[in-house]
Amino acid sequence: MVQFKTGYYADVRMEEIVSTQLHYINGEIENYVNRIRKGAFIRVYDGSKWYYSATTDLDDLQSELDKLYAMANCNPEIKKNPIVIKMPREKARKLKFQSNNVAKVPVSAKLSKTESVFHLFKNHSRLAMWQNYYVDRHIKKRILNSCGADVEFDLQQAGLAYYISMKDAEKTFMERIEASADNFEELQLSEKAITEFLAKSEDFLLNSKPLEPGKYQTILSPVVAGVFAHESFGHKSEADFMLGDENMKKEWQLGKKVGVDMLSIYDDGNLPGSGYIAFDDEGKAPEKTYLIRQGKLTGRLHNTETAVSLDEEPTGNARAISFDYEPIVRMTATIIEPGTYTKEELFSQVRQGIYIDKIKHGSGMSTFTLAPSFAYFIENGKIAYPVEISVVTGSVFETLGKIEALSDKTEVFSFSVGGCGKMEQYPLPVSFGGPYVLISELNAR
Amino acid sequence: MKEIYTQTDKSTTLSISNNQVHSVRNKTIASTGLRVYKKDCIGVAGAQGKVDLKELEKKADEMLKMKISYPYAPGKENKVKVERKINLPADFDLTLETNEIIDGIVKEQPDFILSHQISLHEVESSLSNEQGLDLMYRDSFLGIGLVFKEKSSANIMDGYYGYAGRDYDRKLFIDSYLKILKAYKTKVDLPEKKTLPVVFSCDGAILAKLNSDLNGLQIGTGSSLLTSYLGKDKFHKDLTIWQSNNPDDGLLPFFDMEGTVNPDYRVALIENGKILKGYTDKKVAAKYNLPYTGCASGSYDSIPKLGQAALQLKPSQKTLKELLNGELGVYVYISSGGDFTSNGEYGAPVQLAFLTDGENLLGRLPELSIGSHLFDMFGKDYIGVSSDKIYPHDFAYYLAMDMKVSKIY
Repeated sequence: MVQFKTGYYADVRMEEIVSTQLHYINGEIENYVNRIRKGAFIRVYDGSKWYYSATTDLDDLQSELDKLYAMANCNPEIKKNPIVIKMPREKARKLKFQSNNVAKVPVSAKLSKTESVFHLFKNHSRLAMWQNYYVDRHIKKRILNSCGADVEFDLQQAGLAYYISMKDAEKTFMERIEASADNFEELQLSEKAITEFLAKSEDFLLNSKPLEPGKYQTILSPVVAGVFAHESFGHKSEADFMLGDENMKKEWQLGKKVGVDMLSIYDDGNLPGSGYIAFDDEGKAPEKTYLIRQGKLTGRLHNTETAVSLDEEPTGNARAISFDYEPIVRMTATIIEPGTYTKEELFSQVRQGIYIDKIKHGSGMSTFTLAPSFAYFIENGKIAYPVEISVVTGSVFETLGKIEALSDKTEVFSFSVGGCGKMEQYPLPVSFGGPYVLISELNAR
Repeated sequence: MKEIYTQTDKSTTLSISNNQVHSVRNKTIASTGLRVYKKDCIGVAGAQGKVDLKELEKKADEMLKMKISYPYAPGKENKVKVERKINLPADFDLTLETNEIIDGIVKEQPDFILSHQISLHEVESSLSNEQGLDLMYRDSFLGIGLVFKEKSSANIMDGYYGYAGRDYDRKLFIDSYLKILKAYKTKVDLPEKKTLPVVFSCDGAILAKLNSDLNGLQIGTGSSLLTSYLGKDKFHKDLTIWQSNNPDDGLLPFFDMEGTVNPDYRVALIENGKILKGYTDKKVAAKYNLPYTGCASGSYDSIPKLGQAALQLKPSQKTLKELLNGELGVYVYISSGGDFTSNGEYGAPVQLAFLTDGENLLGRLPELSIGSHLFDMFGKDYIGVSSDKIYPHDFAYYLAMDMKVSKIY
């Protein structure tokens, strides 16, 4: 395959990505893409700097590797470098999606599954437009490194998403319903789910009222709670932002109290869904890593370099969106653990507040944001009417301390289209989830 | 009829961590798409790296069996070549330049840590067919994205300053960066007024709702807020917005994915406040009987479809200082996570804002909340687009409007 030279650390990540995209507008097919991408990302490390190359020429990987060797400095002591010492050495083959590979499903079956619910959208009186996507991808990766690692594995995801635009006189409303699975057979959006979604959208269009801006007691649905965990705290747990920053190491010492006692958040790439990885993109198997346990900072997410920098262990979170990019520290499946209240008990604690059922997007710096789509006013523990909210915000750390209750069941969600973005790398498949979360106060407008 | 699209992206990227070059990445990705048009249908196939055109044609022919309708005339008999190039000396060394930039900033402001990346890009795209269409665009540019963080800060990042362009001047870049850092270190309070002039970069998310509602598909299906205002003076008389593929406005090819080249590479969508038209590709224009603006996009291996327009606001004759007319403005520097409701209500947190007199950044404001409505922002509360650019050699101008502003905490 390739010959590694002594005096350097090097690894090669080869990928074959087979994907399908179908796009319809108002039931008419607009696009069909059946794509096969093959390429490799090569890294060389000399103990001082990293040298990378992305190539689609798999027949000439050696010359790409040799070009990087020529840029780096030979280091006879490289094997004693602490980063190299901790690099994976596993040899393994985990091909989980060979018998049900989505790439082998005929396109006629994909068309048929996508179109099977079109009758629910056609002639709906409120729909100004509807679009839908079917997407799937099967990714096969092989990672070799100069420490002896040789892992081969695959990943797979299929998704359906239906986007609607409803209109009533001057008023418009846009939303989407989606489903995701790691195999074609289990991918399904039931007629019942779509019918309920259309009714809920119509109710929002006709009956929603603007919310008076202010501070409200707020309940987040499991999917919104998952995004909140991902955006508000997950990104801060990615240890690459701490590289060489002594002040951050002090600020983020493990054991520090960061939230209420009932709060625990973990990341685990072993869970099925769009956050699943058999190995990370350095060849390390993923681990269940608690970020917060009982309100205290318990761990963080690492690649090999950040783990060495903080004198901790790699967690299997080195990920790249494709062979065009280097692996950086990313989340996989990020989940808030459940609490003890039933959903009904949790709602009954709100006299006047808001319920965020679904969002368009979220973001998180020192202040996090959630942009709601389906949102409702709560009166005396019951949903009263839909409300229009452009954005909900709060301070991340204050909010983690304002959680009043967690419901007793966690739900996990996978992206069907899209994913997580970090700097130039978007979209990365991740999943997220949690229980219903009651927060004493958030800003909404 | 056959048509071939090619795209090559070649880049060298230096990533920076803790004021030092951490890695060097070289990337060359060449992509080719081949389209066949037959009996009002289209088939497309694509590949990356070395390409066998006969194999692509076979795959594209195979896709014709799906009978995806495309009853529109492909481009023809137009040969245009546009080449732009970055102004770098022949002996330019990206690593040395990166070190000079970092040293120049950190020596003056040692309390900050810089990270992220600097990259040099060469891009080329072409579209040609058997009917004489022959379009080629070649460009090169420098991209600098430097995140800053105060050493004493507990945040992942405190701010960001970026540049992407062809007219690079190290001193100008460093001076601009230092102005930001100096202002960042000076805390100022929000002037006590409910409504203030708010200043944005006119290429940012503030245009997102206009962009989605000027989409021809949204207009044609009646899903756009603007549908019923077509042809009407809905916005401020000074507001003119173009769909632009002009290389002077950005770093995009001058043609769209259906091979259309507009005069001066621009089409006016809103002119002096009047909504003239939405942006369209061939299909949407034909289906909804809308004016055609040549706004198809897509990947190298997909069927061209209506994309998002690159919107360009026509600058006024006034500088930002003149537009502010003696008032102090809130310059929104980082605003992440805000949005419009379907009905045009806008709300956003502002994580980083500076107080400005139009010429100088007077200091850093506390975290803010801003809000308005699309029709007010670009209507009665619109102030204008500056004649001066945010960074002298960049593409973006300042956009100012009155808005409700309050402190978050």
